[in-house]
Amino acid sequence: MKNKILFTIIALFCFHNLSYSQIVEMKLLDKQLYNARIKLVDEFFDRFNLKELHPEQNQADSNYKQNNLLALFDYDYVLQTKDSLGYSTIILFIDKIIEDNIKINYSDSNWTAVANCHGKFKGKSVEFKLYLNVENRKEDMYKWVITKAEGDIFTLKPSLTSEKIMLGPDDHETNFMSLKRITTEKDDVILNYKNKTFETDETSVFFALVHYGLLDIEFVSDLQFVFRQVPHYEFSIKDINRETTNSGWLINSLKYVE
Amino acid sequence: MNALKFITTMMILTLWFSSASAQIEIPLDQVSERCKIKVGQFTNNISKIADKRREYSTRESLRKRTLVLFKGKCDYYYSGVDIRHDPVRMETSTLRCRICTPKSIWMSEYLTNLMNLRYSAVRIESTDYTEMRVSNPRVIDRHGTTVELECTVYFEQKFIGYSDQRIVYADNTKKRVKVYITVEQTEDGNEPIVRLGDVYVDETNFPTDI
Repeated sequence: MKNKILFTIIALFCFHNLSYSQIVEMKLLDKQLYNARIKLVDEFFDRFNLKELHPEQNQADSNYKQNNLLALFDYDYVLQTKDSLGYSTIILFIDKIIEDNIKINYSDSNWTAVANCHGKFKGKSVEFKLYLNVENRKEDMYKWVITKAEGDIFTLKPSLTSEKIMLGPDDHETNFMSLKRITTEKDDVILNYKNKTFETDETSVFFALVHYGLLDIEFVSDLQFVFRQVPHYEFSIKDINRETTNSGWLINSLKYVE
Repeated sequence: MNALKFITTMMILTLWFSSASAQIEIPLDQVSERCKIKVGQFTNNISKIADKRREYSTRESLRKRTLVLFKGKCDYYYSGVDIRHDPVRMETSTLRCRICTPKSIWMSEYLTNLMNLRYSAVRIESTDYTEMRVSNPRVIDRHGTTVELECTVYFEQKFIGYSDQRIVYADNTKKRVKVYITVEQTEDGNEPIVRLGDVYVDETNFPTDI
């Protein structure tokens, strides 16, 4: 009986060590996928500018520039456009970059980050977009700046619109006591009191809400970068996360602009 | 006459200082290398902290040493202006989260959680530091003979949780660590001081090869 127990213990010990060593030997990270993936936006710049090539491309190939630029596209997007005018747009776009030797740089003013933000406004979940651009501070120093905010909560669209919601024509004679009413009775109709030509600036509303502690950004739910450096073309990149050699920051949209 | 002398001296001094600061050469390759080493130290430490085969006290001591790798030692910090910054965060997602939104926790909490994982064994494998991808270090500030820069280091990580030698949980994350560098020009050359910042987690998938 004692021998049986001893044997079981030894067997279990050996199995444990064996299984652990198998675990240790198992290679978990795929180097091929890692090298192919466009991991950072800077890497996208380098591949676009042909400073680096997709690992499956070879400079010995006469079409390596075209192929390398094509590898910057999300293949799902390419497949979607395969039978349409979109595919020829991709080919013309690639030709344009090569012919005109177009390069893109971090310091360019004509690329924009579009961050879809998830936030909390007075305890309620809200979604909105922030547009950001790179701005030169001095010498070789840059920063990202918010250039535009866009979202339903910033339009201040009145919940009620009526000719009757207004300040009375004779309110000046009572020291504009009615101004108190417009801020205490129903707040979300405030734009009924504006003049005809006034346009709401959503970005200023965003800054105001944050300034007064009414809006918090919880996280960025989606991020894209829009590039306008190639004349007549606008394209965007997005981080496509999948386990293939076509992954990372890839072009997911391209359009011809007149 | 004295005023003229004073102005001339001040102009010469200003020009000298501005040219001195412009002369600071930023050793970009060295900076990138140091960033990778620092992040490599972090990934190496977390796999050891989570490894239950090691002594608890060893893991605890390693956890404390890992806190120091980060800006503000993973505590509240100030950066020149009168704003108290929150401690360094780790935005992380897990396959078990019900809503697929990133969960943000402080780095100190993440490291403590690593110590107390419920799995009988844990294995964490990260991209080797030599293979990590570093974004171009970008200048934040220059003052005197010091240059401050920031960049991002990308690495991938696989996590496996075992229960009785069975894999009960596995995930694959793509992480980006913000890195802050101070390059100080000394008589012996430039010496970059590296501190880690927020860690952003892209997405979590089951690894394809298990």
